[in-house]
Amino acid sequence: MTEDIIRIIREILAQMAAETVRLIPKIFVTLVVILLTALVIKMINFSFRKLLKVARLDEAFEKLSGIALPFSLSNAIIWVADLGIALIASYGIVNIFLGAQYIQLFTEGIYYGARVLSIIALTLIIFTLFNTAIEKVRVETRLKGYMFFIVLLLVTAMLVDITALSDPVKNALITGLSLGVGISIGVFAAWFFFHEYLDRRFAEKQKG
Amino acid sequence: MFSYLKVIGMGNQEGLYRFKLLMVLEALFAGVYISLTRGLFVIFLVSIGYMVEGISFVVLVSSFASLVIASVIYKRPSFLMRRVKFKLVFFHALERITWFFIPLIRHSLAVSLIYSLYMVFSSVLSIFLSFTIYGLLNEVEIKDITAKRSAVMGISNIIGYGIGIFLLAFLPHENKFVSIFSLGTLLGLFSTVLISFVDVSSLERTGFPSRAEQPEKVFSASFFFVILLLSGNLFGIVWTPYLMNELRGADFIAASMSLSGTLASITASLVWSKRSFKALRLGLVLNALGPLLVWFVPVPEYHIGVSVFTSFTFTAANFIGTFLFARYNEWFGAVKSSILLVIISNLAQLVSAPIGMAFGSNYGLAFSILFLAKALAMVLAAIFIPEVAVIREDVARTYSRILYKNSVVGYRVAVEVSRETILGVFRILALSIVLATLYLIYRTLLLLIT
Repeated sequence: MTEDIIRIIREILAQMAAETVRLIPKIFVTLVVILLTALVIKMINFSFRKLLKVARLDEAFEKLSGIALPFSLSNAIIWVADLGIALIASYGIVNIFLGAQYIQLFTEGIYYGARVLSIIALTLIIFTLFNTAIEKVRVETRLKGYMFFIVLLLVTAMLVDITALSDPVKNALITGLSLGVGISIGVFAAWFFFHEYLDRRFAEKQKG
Repeated sequence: MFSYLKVIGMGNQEGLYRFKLLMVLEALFAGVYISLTRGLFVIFLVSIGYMVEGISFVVLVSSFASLVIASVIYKRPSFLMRRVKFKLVFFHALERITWFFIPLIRHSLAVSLIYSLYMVFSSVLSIFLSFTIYGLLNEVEIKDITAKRSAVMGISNIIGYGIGIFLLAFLPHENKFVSIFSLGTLLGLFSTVLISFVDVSSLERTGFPSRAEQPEKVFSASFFFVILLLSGNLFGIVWTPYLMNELRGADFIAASMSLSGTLASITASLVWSKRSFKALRLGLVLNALGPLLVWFVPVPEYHIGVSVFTSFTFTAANFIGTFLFARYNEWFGAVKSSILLVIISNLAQLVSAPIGMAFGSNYGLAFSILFLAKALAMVLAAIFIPEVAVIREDVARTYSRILYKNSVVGYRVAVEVSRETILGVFRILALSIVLATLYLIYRTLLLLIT
């Protein structure tokens, strides 16, 4: 009995050792990849920072568009570049460790991540534009609230797209939100263009 | 008031005589050396297969290199003021030794490079020679020695060309230029030995004013001199081809023109050297007629006479510039005067080469440009240079000041605009590199995952 247990433990340990030995080259290659990635990221960061300092991108963007971004465009570009390199490195590591069958999963993960990132980017852009519009045009508080409401609805519709809900539920929610946004804009447009006429009509009715 | 030590000019007659003799003898040997080397350089280039464009390119590159070096020395003039004797002799010898190597090279780029190197040495040497003359002598002596050196150099040029033609005709084709350039170098090195006897120890203590007292005068004189030398260089580029190709003049006429021109400038140097600025002005006015005479005289033989006329009057016009700097030397300083003279000469050469290349074959246009350039030089001298002006001196000084101030403003605007443009280009370039790298990263990722 004891011998069996010892034998099993030995086999387990032998198997673990064999797997570890088999994995050592992969680990070594992975370490090299990680080191290289870190080096490339460092180099890219350094050179991009220098180049973007010369290009004065944030200053030029603000001057040309008149929009002050809540974040540095140069840093965003550097971050996107770093992300790209990190993803390439991750692809390499997945390929080394898990093999080709996991690449599909990795690709789907990247697509999903890209969708999340695009929603974040879109939300940021929409809110920035919204802020700029409010700063540039003197908007009364109620109208501000209305615009914010519409923006929120749009962002929610985009968020629904990346949730793990079933497709029919997603469709129903997005249709409802779209209808809501459409009707809201319609009502707002009717009020915006005809409110003087409507006010007069209501006033006449009240008098009559 | 800034003052200079005029050691030789201060009653030391023997020293002055010795200095002048050495400088004139140096010019005598240098004239033969220049004729045998630089004078035959274009023929050497043609012999190794250079075309007109190649020759112009060599001239352009070398002029640009010398201009850059002269400008650097102008910014850091202290280079001139330490170990003057050593540097003078060193660059004198180095300039001559370069000619030992030029005929040994056949590769076009290497020839351009070594000739540019020679031009750089030559520019530095010209600065040191001018510095020696301007730094040690007063205005009268500068005028005297300039005229004597010009005359002697003219004579030795003729001797040098004579020797050059003889050797070109009778030496065997192989290594012909090696022999001629080596002979030129040896004669040139003899002038180096002579220059090593010149006492320049007092130049070690020479200073220079931090600010020019009358910058508008220097500006007007420099502007005038650049335009005048530019017209002179252009004349040299256009005239001979016009005579030979358009008027069908024989090659001996072209050679005679060159000889008669040199002889005329020798005489002119001696005639004009003692004249006042007002008299030299007459030479400048007459010189402006030169391009018109060349254009409208259809008989090639008569061009020999025209050459005598233009050389004689050009010497007077040239003396205006040189003598103006001799006068300004008192307050502008020998250091800056000598460097500025070399910059002016290089700038005129640099500008005239592309103009000659662009309009050289259109003789009507070329002579019109030449006439306009000479007329412009005349107008500049007549209105903006108080010493030469036809109007009252104080009025000319006011005009000169206005021209200087407007040019300074124009220059600053041009520099600012150019700076902004260059910066803009760099910014766009930097952003393009960043975006291209970003594209490359994500394109790689996309290729990997699809």
